[in-house]
Amino acid sequence: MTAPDAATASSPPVAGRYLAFHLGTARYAVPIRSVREVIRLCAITSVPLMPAHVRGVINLRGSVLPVIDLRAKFAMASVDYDDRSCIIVFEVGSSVARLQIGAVVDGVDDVLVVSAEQLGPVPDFAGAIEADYLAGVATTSVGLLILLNIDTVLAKESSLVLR
Amino acid sequence: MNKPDDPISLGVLDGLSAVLGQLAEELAFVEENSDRGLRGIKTLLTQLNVASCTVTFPADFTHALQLPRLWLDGLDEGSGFTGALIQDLYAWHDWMMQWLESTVTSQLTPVIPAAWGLPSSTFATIEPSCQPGLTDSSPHPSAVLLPTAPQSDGVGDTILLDLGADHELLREFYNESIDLLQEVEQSVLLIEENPQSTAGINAIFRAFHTFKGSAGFLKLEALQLLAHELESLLELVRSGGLAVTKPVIDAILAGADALADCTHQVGAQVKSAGPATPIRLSVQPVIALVQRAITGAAAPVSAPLSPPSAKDSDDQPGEFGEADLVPGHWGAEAPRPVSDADSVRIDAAKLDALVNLVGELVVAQSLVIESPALQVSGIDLTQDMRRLIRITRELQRNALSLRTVPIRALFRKMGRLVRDLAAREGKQVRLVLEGEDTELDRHLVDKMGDPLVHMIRNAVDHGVETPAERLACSKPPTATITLFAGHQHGGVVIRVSDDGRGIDPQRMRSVAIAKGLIDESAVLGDSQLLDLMFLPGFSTAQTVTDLSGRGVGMDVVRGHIESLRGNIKIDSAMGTGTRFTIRLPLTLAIIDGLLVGLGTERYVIPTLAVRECFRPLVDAISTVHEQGELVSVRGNAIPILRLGQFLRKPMRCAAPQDGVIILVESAGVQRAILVDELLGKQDMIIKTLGPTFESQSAIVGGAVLGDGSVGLILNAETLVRAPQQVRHDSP
Repeated sequence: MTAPDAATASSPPVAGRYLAFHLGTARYAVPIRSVREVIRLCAITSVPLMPAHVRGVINLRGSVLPVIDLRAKFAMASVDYDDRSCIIVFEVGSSVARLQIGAVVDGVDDVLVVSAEQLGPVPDFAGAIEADYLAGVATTSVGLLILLNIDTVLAKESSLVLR
Repeated sequence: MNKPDDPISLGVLDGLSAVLGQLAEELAFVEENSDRGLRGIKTLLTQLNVASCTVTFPADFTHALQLPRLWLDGLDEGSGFTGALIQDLYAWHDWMMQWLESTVTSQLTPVIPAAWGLPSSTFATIEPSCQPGLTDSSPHPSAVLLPTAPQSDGVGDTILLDLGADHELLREFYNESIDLLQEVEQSVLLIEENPQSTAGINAIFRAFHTFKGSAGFLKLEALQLLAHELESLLELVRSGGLAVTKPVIDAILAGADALADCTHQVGAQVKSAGPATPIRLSVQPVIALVQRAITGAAAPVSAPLSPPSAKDSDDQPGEFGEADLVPGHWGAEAPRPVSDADSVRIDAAKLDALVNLVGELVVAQSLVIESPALQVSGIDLTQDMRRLIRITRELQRNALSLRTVPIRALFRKMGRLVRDLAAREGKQVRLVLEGEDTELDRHLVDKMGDPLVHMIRNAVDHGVETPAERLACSKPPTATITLFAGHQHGGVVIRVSDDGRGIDPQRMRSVAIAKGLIDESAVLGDSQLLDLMFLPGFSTAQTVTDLSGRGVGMDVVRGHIESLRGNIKIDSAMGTGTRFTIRLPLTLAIIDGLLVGLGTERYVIPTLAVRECFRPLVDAISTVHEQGELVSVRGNAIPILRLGQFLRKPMRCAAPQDGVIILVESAGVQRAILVDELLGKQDMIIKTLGPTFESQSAIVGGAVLGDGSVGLILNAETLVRAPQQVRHDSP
């Protein structure tokens, strides 16, 4: 629990604590510092005229929080949500403008410490996959984890690049 | 408690205890030889990890946190919980709760049971709780000793507060000034690190400028004088005429300290019930120091750095007036910030959380009241329920009122300002207030104070003419400045208008060229020329006085408003006047909304925009080219917009006569909105959806509905303008 927190910026991945989650068989990890909390799936109000991956909004303790579907965001086949599905509430943005966005994932696995030796660069998919979203990979005891650049993934939804 | 150097925030502890609460629920359902709930428990344990990983906890807690995972991982696949394991989990949960409880109350945390295996360190359980070092809440930065003798007969060395007339204003002055001076201190740290930091220098400049303004307003002349000198110093630095050197920083700090000392004294008098007593202060030495910094003459080499300025009085009797204070009143010691019994400054985020939670309480209440279980049970709780409803309603009203205030107080404050300014300028000005009762976010009202003061000053100083000038152009001798506030387009509009001489765009142009802000060949329209006044460093004031700005005015105003995510526009006509329109986004507002059903979904239409609702008769419907539908309402044919078609959502009703028509009007345009059903009408708090939906013009916000889900509030403006064949042009 004393390992340094992983950086959130879209810099090369650094050793630190990550939250591991999965979408189907694909396993991902995000720096724990960008995670605000994990909540159970609740009723999502869909917002019309938005791209498919923007699921809508939820009521999080009285605040309205946008929720996206990471499967849809990554152009993966959609599945029915089940009791393992949950919403990871991310906090993205600069230090001045923080924004919370929820993302539906198939399930969260664990918080784990990734050491520097376990880190690897982004594999070259020759453009087949949007590489900006990926920060690298980590080979851990539980298998290969794809490290996400969550700020980049959510950049459009949080209007970070549009401003 | 925790490691002394690392206090755990209450927020984190709250988060932990919330997850532990959910765990308790899960644990209650766990049975021997069944793995029911296992998944939920594992998920919650992960949540617990997430909630706790932002902070370094003592080793025993960290150790305990990991235990259930180990236990559960040791569980044989499919065999379910064992009795021993369940006992262990209960014990573990109890221990965790105890630990949190004692941490929150700063008591000794429980000792970890030996059976759990001990972490390497036990310091956390024996370390006595440590109070964060509040030894001195206001560590004074270094101030330079002042070699000049204090001139006790200098300008305004004694301040006598008019506690009767100015009590409210003085209290505001105190609260505002403390913030300003803190800002100065923070910015000084910034420029100490990076002397080139224009942001830091500008911030200090503005803080002193605002301070000067407020002090002048309240006739605290000595303070005004000192602030003026400090402002001049910063102006010099800002224009590049002076480098940020140690003497400059020392002068800023010494000045800020002197201002702070006096401000605290003002604060103490405002809060004490007693009569006003003269505050003696000697600002001359500090002014001399500042002036020396301006001229670049370094402070004498022998001048040592002094301890906190309050101790300057040891060397200079009478400095800051301690010696002459009434004993036992607010004491001979340097006054400290006094806790305010009448008003409390609260973090806005906490207020928001409170308002949100009360909203949730109302939701939870209606869930209970409408619970079928309650109705089936036959227990009559009507009496008690009614009481509960009354209390929650009152609670909600109170919670909301914490956040919103009428703009009246702020507007009234301007009344005095106009009077004083006009008298000083030899002008006759009448202030007209409109929409004083407009309620807006307290935060907005607080933040709009400075910009309004600047704008009113500009209006009196530059906007309106002298009575003679006015008579010469056949206007009434008394000028009128109008302050307007109101809700428009779901936002707040504040307008400052005068019937003065207006602004000459060509004069703006020549000034801007002279100041090097635009190129001589630049082609700009009149409105663009007027907008030049929002550029930093632009000022048309001919002389520097304590009243008019030095070009800080309008760029500060715009910065302020933009920081509130608003905008400001200027209109001016030569000879007839100038009008500033400030538009602020709504941060918290309650609207009366009509809840409508569309397929399986619900939407909210602001009642303000609704003219009427009805189920149309078949005869009243007609079509154009078999596409456009019209409904006839008392002889007017009004185009129908099928909401489902517009929002690309399924509708239940196939024809208009099966649904309900909501007649919506915005900006004079009417449109008949066809929905499936009408569900009700209620007051709701508009919540912004955030930047994710900024491209979305159909929805203005969300509201938490009675069942806890979010309802989307439709934009009446977009509805009336929507084409009937909707293009899908979302990103």
